[in-house]
Formats: sequence, structure tokens, C-alpha cells
Amino acid sequence: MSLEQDELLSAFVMESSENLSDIESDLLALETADSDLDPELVNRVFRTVHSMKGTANFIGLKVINELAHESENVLNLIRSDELSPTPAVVEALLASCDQLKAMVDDIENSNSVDVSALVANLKSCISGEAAPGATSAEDDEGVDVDMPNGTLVFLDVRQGDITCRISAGMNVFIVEVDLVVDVDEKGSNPVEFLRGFYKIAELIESYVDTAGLGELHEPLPEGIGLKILAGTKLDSEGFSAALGVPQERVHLIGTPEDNPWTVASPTPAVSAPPANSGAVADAAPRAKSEAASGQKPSKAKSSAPVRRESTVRVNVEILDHLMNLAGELVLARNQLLQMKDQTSERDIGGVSARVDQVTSELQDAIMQTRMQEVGSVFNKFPRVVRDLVKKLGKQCELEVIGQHVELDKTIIEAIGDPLTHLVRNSVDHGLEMPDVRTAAGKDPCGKVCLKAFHQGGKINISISDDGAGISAAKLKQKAVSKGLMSEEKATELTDQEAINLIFHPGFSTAEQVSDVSGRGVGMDVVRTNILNLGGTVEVETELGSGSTVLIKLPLTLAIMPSLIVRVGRSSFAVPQTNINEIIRIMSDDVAERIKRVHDAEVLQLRGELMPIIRLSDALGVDSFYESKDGAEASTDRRHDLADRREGEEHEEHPPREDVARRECNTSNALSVVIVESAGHRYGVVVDSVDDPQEIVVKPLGRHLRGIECLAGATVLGDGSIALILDVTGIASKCQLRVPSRDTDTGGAVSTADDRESQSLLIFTNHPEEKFALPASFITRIERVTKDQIDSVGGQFILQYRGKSLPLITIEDHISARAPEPTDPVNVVVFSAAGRECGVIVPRLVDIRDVDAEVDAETLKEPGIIGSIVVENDAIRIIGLLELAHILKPDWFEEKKQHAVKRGHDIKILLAEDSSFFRSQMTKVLESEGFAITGCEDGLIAWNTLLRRETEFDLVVTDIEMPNMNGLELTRKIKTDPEFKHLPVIAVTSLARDEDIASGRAAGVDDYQVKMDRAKLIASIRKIIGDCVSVA
Amino acid sequence: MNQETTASKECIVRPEGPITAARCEEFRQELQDKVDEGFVEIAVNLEAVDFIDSRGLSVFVVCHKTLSKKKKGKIRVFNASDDLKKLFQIMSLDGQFVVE
Repeated sequence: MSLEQDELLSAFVMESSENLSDIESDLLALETADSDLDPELVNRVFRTVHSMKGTANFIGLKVINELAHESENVLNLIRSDELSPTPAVVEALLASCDQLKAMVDDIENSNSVDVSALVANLKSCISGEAAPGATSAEDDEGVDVDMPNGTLVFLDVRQGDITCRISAGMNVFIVEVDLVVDVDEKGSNPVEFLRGFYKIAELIESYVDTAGLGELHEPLPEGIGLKILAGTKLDSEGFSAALGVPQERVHLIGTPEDNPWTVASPTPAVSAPPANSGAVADAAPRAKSEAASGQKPSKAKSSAPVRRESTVRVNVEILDHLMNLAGELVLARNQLLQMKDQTSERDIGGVSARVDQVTSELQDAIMQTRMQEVGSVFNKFPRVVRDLVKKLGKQCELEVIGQHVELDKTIIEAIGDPLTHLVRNSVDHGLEMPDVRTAAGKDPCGKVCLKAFHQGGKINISISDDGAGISAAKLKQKAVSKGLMSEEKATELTDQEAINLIFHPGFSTAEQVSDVSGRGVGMDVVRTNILNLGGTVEVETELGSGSTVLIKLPLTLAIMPSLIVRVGRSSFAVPQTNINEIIRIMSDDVAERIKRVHDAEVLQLRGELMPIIRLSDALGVDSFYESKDGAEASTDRRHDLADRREGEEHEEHPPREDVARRECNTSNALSVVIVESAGHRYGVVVDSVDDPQEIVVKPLGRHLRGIECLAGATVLGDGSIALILDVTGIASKCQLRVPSRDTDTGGAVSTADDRESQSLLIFTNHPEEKFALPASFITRIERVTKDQIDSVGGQFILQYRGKSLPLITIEDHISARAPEPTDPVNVVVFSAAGRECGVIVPRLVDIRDVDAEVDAETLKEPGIIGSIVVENDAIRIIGLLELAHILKPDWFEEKKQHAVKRGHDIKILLAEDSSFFRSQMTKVLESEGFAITGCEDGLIAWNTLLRRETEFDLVVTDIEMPNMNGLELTRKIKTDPEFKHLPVIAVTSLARDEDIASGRAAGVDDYQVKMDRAKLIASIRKIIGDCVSVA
Repeated sequence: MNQETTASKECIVRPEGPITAARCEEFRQELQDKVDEGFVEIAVNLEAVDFIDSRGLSVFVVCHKTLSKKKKGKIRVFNASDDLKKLFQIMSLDGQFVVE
């Protein structure tokens, strides 16, 4: 063929492929259109086929021409209303459409295809309708017609009268109308009703039901019940509305799609149609998808697949944009070339920034051209489901969501077959037959939902059905009977493991292997295909309710910004989206910032304790550190990061109490990357942090796929390989529990219930006496040598960072035994009344969350807030502020002066049911100079307000309280005309999003988490508008 | 259906004007009288009737019921306008049997 003809041919192929997939959806719409048939729909199809015929003729594609010609004839008659688009006719057209598609796909062999059967079919559509309906013996049979509930209504109706209406595309209804109630009393009359009826329907049979009526000599009846058997093109809703009869009395008993009389059984007694006895069946599978973009048609089913040109449709705007960017890049490059000679650093910076930016934009735009909407794959499924449902005698509604989600072209092409298999599976194996469904109390029409959406950085496609679910037990049985495993092994399997057996090759639990799906080659091939795309597939199911198959696909070929980190000799990439921040801890600070809590290492970060893991541990890679002089790098075998001893091998695990004994020797700083994903937030310790880089994500090789810590791999600029870390995977591997959002109280371990827990630092003064300090009060823990402490006027002072820090020795203020003097000394530094103060804590034991009840009575004395029992030890909790107050009362006086506003003290109403917290908060706030009135619960607080003895400036309230909780209190305050100006701060340990939302809904002005002192005070000040800063 | 009427058993009634809820009591009485007189078949001449509402129709219906109980009698109509004819057809009172 000449070059021109080649071009013509490929243009024809391309255009026809698109047109044919459009036709298919139009034809499906035609079938379900009923009386509101859009004439434009038919015209469109007609025109398409017509032009296809013309071009085919011109090029010499004879067979295509012939088939198109016959189809065109049929369409023409439909267009002029001479032929009704009954299901049979539409079926014939769809079959032709399929064949045309096949021929277009295999254009070179199209002329040798035999389409005689299809042509004959199309021809018979025309002649079949035109010929007067010849009555057969069947037609004259009398049939009984029941209502959906089985009541016999019409006896011995001529079958032909009914079937002819159905073949004409009408629905058949039984209407129960009461002439008095439904007609006269609505202002109409019987004659008018009839006129209306005949406009929209045909009468098959009718009568007045005299059963309940009286006789002539009795008073006239209140209603006349008329039963009508009618045929109409309207549906239930439309018919009922047009007649003015409520839908409950309009019963659909036969439609063209579900014709109970097609199985032309001669015995009239068979009034019940096969699948349902007169059930109201909306059988047509309606695909609720929005207009699909329909870019690429499905693959040809011809036996000799021809390599078609691979093309993509691109929006012209994107192309213009690309041209622009290319132009910009050229300009910038020219600038750069010129600048080669004049090396002025500043200028180069600007131009290279420009080149950088344009290149990025160009990259994005080009990637966009490869992205296609997933709808192009989804849009073939309505047809698939329709055909399947017909074949199997089931009823199904297909819902398609997310057609506009975009995927790379290669994935779109590859995902079609697996999806088809899964959808067919759902309909075939998942959905039950309508009668089984009804018996189970379900809607006889099953639902299959095909959904595409973004989540977790991946594209998710789910296929779910509300069918029978998958039986784990059955699968186990099957596995044993197929010899895939022994019976013992099978019983050991968990349900989920059993469900996953469906992915095993050679597995099919269908009773008969239908040719529709499942010759045992199905699911494992699906899975392999998806794995090859770098995706995952899982199945979830619930017996009786249905199943969902979830496919997750990476945005392969996506370019991902990431941070490169190094551990040992390897480089790893951390996805930018997961990175919160990067911290470098100087070696001096390591000891105090990194602690052990419950056998895990944690990092102290801005008042928060965050779990950390060593990447080397998580991945099993040797970590390096350089020795002090940097001379050699050797494997880091330290057990604790905080252990700064160099070079030795330690066999034993240093006991916790000896945290104090660590020595700071090396000058290694620690690099910690704080990452976050799916609720886990933690730090990853790496040897070093390199530059951020944009990388191309490649899927891992098969042998590495199972590793949950890794999400992929990439090649770096220098040619080496960096593995991409899966932040969620690492968290689960290291068994980091998902912490509650409420981490400000300093707890690394979450408490699931909402008992209020406190984070306490536990230490011993004298070895046998344990004390605790609320961790939230602690600013720092210092280790100082004895010579840094002076004794001035009977008081210990620490020379600390150029200031003198007063030190408290516990035994001087409360009843405690004096400890053995130690050197060095641990000092807990905290702030009180805006100044810093220290407490000597001889031996640190632990930091932990304690949610035991605080006993505020038993061991009470000044300086002790309360006591708790932990592991059979009674531990007294020290009130730091109280001690500070005892030591330095003048500080607090000064503070009070500062807090005066508008000539009077700021008065705060505090509602808190725990006496422990109440006294703590009172002390904290009083030390800031506020006047506090404390109340045990919301009701008391409210009554206090009502008494109006004090004019409060602010309310601070807990949420969980008896009698009246904080939310109710807030609402009362905010809706009361006298008090609604009062600002309310909620202070609570409940800090989930929903709690915060309900707080705000109640009218809370600020929401603070217990017990972040600094934040609470800041919030109070901010609200009051106090400009005096904390000293 | 063939109509077998014996002069004594069938009578003819010719109401005039619309048979509506307001006026149907009169009509009912008229029919009742005929039944009491022993007639088994009643033919109603509707040439002077232009409109029947549902209440009016109910008279025909109960009359039919009464008559058909006694010796298979019935009520029929003739000279009805097209509209009324259709109405009676749909009520199956133009000669066909009703399913009880």
C-alpha cells in the first residue's frame, strides 16, 4: 500500500476504535432509555456508523462496510420510530459493534472475516418487527397473573396479550386503584382518569373487585376497588405519578428484561416466573458512572493480535505549555553558555536557579502527558457486567467511582485484564442468585462497586460486592482436597491466611469451573500482574456480607523528593512527605536527651518523649561511627546510644540505674531524622544525613518484596543504589505502638483509656525511699561535680551557665533520710515564678507514665503533693513549686505584682475533679500571680459563678467531671448573657481530634492538654491580653 | 354473552342528568325498587346521562352484585357515550363475569 493509504488506514483505525467504544455506551443507554429516549442518542450512533461505512468503503474494507451498512439500516429505522429498540435489537447491534471493533483491531485481515450470521441477525430484526405478530398456540394460552405477594389477581389472561406488550418494550403492571379515594376525592372523575390512563398505557385486563362491597339495599360503599392489568413504557415511579395512584399499589410484574413469560411453558399454572414470583425487579444493570472519558478501547479479542501504534491523547493546552517551557529552557541554557566565560558567582546562581525551575516544570508537564484517567479502563465494565448478568440470570448494579483518578499509561494498560477478572469474579462467584439473596433478606439486585482513589501515597482500586463472601472453611477444604497441604496444616491456618489461598495457582472453588471466570488460572495471574507493576493486592471478606479486593498501585515512574541518609556503607532514601524534621544532637547533649523508657530508647524533644530506633538495627545493617580523631571508622557496637564509651565491647547490658555513670568521650554528634506516617511519629538514628534529592522510584526485585521496611529503590547520581525506606513498615517491624496524639505530657507509651496519667521522674533520695517529680515540670537534668556547688549562707547554690541556681535538698524540707553524698551530683532544673531552681536527685530510677490514683491525703506534708503506689512501693510526689516557695517566697511575691492587670488581680475559676491536679494547677497558676478559685466539678463551678461573689476573668476547666462536665459548663457559660464574655480554657488529657472538635463546638476558647504548664500560662496570658512577659 | 331476557325479568331504566354523589341516592332507590319488584336483569339507558362520578358508579357495582347473587342476574348499560362506554368496559360490567 502506498504511504498515503497507510496513513489513511491508521487514521481510520484510530478514529474508529474511539468511535466504537462511544457507540457501545450509547447503545447500552438506548436499551435502558424507555420512554424518555433521547433522539439525539440514536442520531449520534447512526451518524457514526454511517461515516464509518463510508470511509470503509472508500478504503476498500468490504466486510466492515457490509456490517456497518446493515447496522446502519437498523439504526435508521429506530431513528424514524419505525423500529423499537427492544433488547433483542440492541443485542444484535452490540454484537455487530463488537465484531466491528475486532475487525478494526485486526484491520489487515478484516476483509476475510465472515459476518454472515450477524448480518442475518440484523436483517431479522427489521423483518421480525415489521411482520404482524403471528399468534402461536402459546399466545392463546390463558395464564394466571399474581401480585408480588402471591395473591392471585387475574385468572386466565390470554398470554399473547401480555407478551406482545413486553416485546414491544413495555412494562406490565397490576394497578389497584380506588375510584373514590384515588380519583374523585382528588378532584377528578372516572372518565378523566381513564383518559389519562389511555394516554400512557394499554389495558390488558381489568375488573371491579366486588368482594368487599355490600348490596344494593345497603348504604353505598365508601370506595370502589378497580384492578387493572396494564402495559406501559413508563417505569413504576412514572406510571404511579401519571395515574395519581400511590406506588404501593402499582406493582411491576414483568419487564422486557425480566419477562416472566419468555420461558414459554405451555402449562398456564406456571404463573411464577423462574427467578422470582412476580417480584418487583429492577433488573436492568444500571451503570451509574458519570460520563467516562473513554480514551482507549479495550484490547481486541482477535486471534492474531496485531501491534497497533501506541498513541496517547494529550490535551492541546499541555502541549502548548510544553512548548513554552522548552523555549524557556533554551533561553536559560543560552544564558548559561554565555556565562561560562564571565564567571560571576551571583549571576550563575540566578541563571542556574532558573534552569532548575524550568527543568522541573518541564518534567512535570511531560509526566502529565503520560497520565490517563482510570475511567478509560473502567468504562468497559458496564458492558461486561451486563453481559455476564444476563448470562447467569443474576441481577446486579454496577457502581463506578473515581473515573478521574489518573494513572501512568503503562499501568492503565496493564490493569485492564486483572480488573476484568476481578469484576467477573465478583459477579460470578461473589453474588448469589436473586432468590438466594431474597431468602437471606438481601435486595435481590446485587451491588458491585468499582472504586479508584488516592490513599497513603498510592492509587487504590477496590472491587467490592455485597455477595456471599468467601468461606475460609471451604477454602481450607479445597486446599486439602487438591493436595496443596495436609489437613493439620490447614486447620492451623488463620482465616486470613485461608482467604489468601485464592491466590494460589491451581485454585478455584467454583462448583463448576464456569468459562466465565476461574479455570484455576485466575487469581494467581492477577496477583502476579499486579506485583509486576509494583503493587499489592489483598482480599477482605465477610461471610454473608460480601468481599472486597483492594489493589494498591504505586505511582511508578513518579519522581519523589526524598532525603538521602547513610548507615554504614549504604545509602537510603527517606520520602520527603514522611519527614518532620532533622535533628543533630551534639555529643554532650546525648546523655540527657536520649533516655531509656521500658527498654526502648526515647528522645526528649521539646518536652516530648519520642521513640527512636536505630536504622542499623531495623535493617540489620552495621552502623559505623568514627572515633574521636576520625582516624578510623569501625562498627558501632554500643548498646546504648547514650553510651559514649569508645571502642570497647560490652557484653552486659548496663543496668538502668547506672544512667548516671555514662561518660562523654567521643565527639560524635547524632543525626536523627524525625519521621511520621499513619499516626506513627518517631526518630530514626542514622550515621549521617546527605542531601535531599529527587529520585525516580523503582519497584524492588522479587526477592526483596517481602521486606516491610523497604518501599522501593532508586539509582543515585553517582550510580550507586539507594533503598527507599517505608516509614510505616519500619514502625511496625520495630513494634512501635501508635502513641496517642497526646504526647505533650511526656509519655512514650500510650494509655488507651482516658484515665488521667502523669509522667513522673522517679528517683531515690536515700536508697530506700522513692520519690517522684512530675516530668512536665522538669526543664533539664544536669550532672554537675561537687565543686560546682557552693554553700552560701546555709544554702546550696550551683554555678550554672553564668548564673547562680539555688538548690533544694529534699531532706531539708520534708521528712526524708539524708542520702549518701555522690559525686557527680544529679540536679533537676525547673522553673518557678519565672526563675530557675534546682533539686538534688541523688539517684535517678526511671521516667514513666503512671495512671494510678494519686493519694493526696495520706503522706501529705508541705512539699509533698501526694503519693502513689507503683509496684508495691509507696512513692511520694514532690511539689516542686511548694519547695521553691518555701525556699524563695520573695520570687512569688514579685510575680504577683507583675500579674496585676487593670488594677486588680486576675481571677481564674478552676474546675477540676481530681484534687491532685487541682492543687497542682492552683499552685502553678498562683505562682504566676493569678488568683485561683478551685472547684471540684462543673456544677460547683457554675454555682460559684452564679453566686457572683467574685468577678472572674477566666475559666479553666477539666472536661471529665461528675455532675457537670466541662463541655456542659462551657455551654452554660457561653449561652448565658451575663457570662458569655468569660473566656474558657479546657485543660484535659483527652486530646483526640474529636475531643478538640467537641470542645470547640461547645464554645471553648482554647484547648490545652494536661499538664503543659508553659503552654497553659501562655494561653491564659494571651487571652487576658497581658503584655508582661515571663521574666 | 348472549342475553336471555324474558320480558318479565328484565326492565329498563332511563335516568336523566348526571349521576353523581349528590344525586345517586335517587338512582339507587329506583334500582332498588326494580329489584324488589322481582326483576333479575336491569338494563340502563344512558342516552340522557352525560356524566357519572365514582359514587354514581358504585351504584351500578353494588346493583350488579346484588343481581348476580340472585339467580345470576346482572345489570347492563346501553346508549352510553364513548367515554362512559370505556368506563364500563374497564369495570368489566359490559357483560363479562367478575372474578370473586
